Formats: sequence, structure tokens, C-alpha cells
Amino acid sequence: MKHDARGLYETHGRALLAYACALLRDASAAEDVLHQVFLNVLRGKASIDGEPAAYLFRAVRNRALNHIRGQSREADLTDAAWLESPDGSQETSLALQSALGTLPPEQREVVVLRIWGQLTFEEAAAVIGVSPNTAASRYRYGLAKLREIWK
Amino acid sequence: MGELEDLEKRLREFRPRRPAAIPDERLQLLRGPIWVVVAAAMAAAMLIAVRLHGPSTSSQRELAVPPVNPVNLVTLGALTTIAAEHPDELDTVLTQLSRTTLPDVAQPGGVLRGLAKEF
Repeated sequence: MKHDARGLYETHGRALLAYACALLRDASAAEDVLHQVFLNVLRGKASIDGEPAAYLFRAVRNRALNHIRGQSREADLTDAAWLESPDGSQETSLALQSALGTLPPEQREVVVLRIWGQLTFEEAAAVIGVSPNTAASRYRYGLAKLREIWK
Repeated sequence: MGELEDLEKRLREFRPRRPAAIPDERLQLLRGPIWVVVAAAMAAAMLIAVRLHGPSTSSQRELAVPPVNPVNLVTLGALTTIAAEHPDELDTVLTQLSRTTLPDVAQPGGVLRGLAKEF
């Protein structure tokens, strides 16, 4: 099935970038991963069956995990702002990113998929490859921890 | 549960930043063989410079002439075409061109030989 890659990029680009940033903790590498995914879509190398958003989140996840395997050190999640705060303050954005960075990766990714990816627990679970109950549990633990850290 | 919902609401007020535009696919494709184009351009510039300003003696013209006519090849377009369509042959062509057009460093009485002696 052929999809409008640029339309998908416009619709899902922000959430996908947030997800890649949450996984990689490196905004520059996250953007590279996102571009690789979309270049594959543009070249017709990607076979998108079903809901494009689910495919795109899975593709970003796979590429991000490959990237992590290939690097020796985890980058600092706070090095560049990938969230825009409602008041436009970079300090506020970085504070939230820093708080997100303290969450275990498996909780952090569900939080990002739910909050900014706007996926249901079923959809998030399919992206990650766990049961919806596990995804929901990770989400709740993640939010509870975030509430303690991020005031 | 109310506290978590408040937190969700606060978090959703943040917006992920817009990613940079997808790189132009044509530029991505060009990135691979770009070195061939650059090499061809440098070779062409070098050969043109040699032909315009380099030594031109009758003995040089008598050197072995390969089966390539440099006049037809010393253009950026011609070399780029070879680089793009027959990249495997580019090295051979450049070697032939250099033999034809570059000064012979071993030529007796040549300027390059004189310079070599000085150093």
C-alpha cells in the first residue's frame, strides 16, 4: 500500500522524534534515525501494512535499538531540547527531559508513546512487543515516578 | 488517580519539537558518487591549467600517444559522463590523459628535472 511519506512526516514527525529521543537520549541521533525511516518510506523500501503510525513507531524503535547496540556510551537526554514547553522556556523543557531521563527506559518509552504519540495501550504494547497490561503497568509506574521527580 | 490525570494533562501541554525536513532524496543519492564528480572536476581543472600554462615542447608532443584524444575528454562534462556511466574506466582514462598532457618529469633539460636537482 502506497502512503504519502511527506504527509505522514507532517502528521507523526513530532511524536516520532520525541519517541526516538526518549529511546536514544540524543536529539541528533534521533533525528538521523527518523530520517532513515522516512527515506526508506520515500524510496518504497518500507512495506506498511495496516496503521501507518504503528509501523512508523516500530520502525523508529528498531532503528533506534540498532543504533544503541552500535554505540558505546549513552548520550545525555538533557543535551538538547526536543520538547517545547507551553511557556516557551527551554529551562522548563530541559527540566522535564531530565526527569524523563531518570525513568527506566521501558517506562519512559511507554510514557512517550502514550502522552505524545497518543497511542492506546494496545497500540503501544504492539510497538514494544509486550502485553497491553504490561504496557499499562509500566506507564502507571512511570507516571508515578515522574510525579515524584518533576514538580 | 486524579493526580495522575493532572500530570498527564500537564505533560500534554508540552509539544515535541518539529524535526528537520527529510533530506532531499536526490542529494542522498548523489552523496555516494560525489567524490567521483569532485575527482573529475579536479582532474579537468588540472589538465586545463597544464595545457594553458605548462611547458609545451616538440619532444613532449612526440611522447607515446595513447588511444584517447585528450581534446575530446578535457571537459568537465565528458569526464563527469565517464565517471557516472563508466566509473570503472575513469581511472584508466585519467591515467591516459595524464600521460598525454602532464609534463615529463624525467625529460632531460626540463624545468622539473632542474628543480629536482636543486632540492
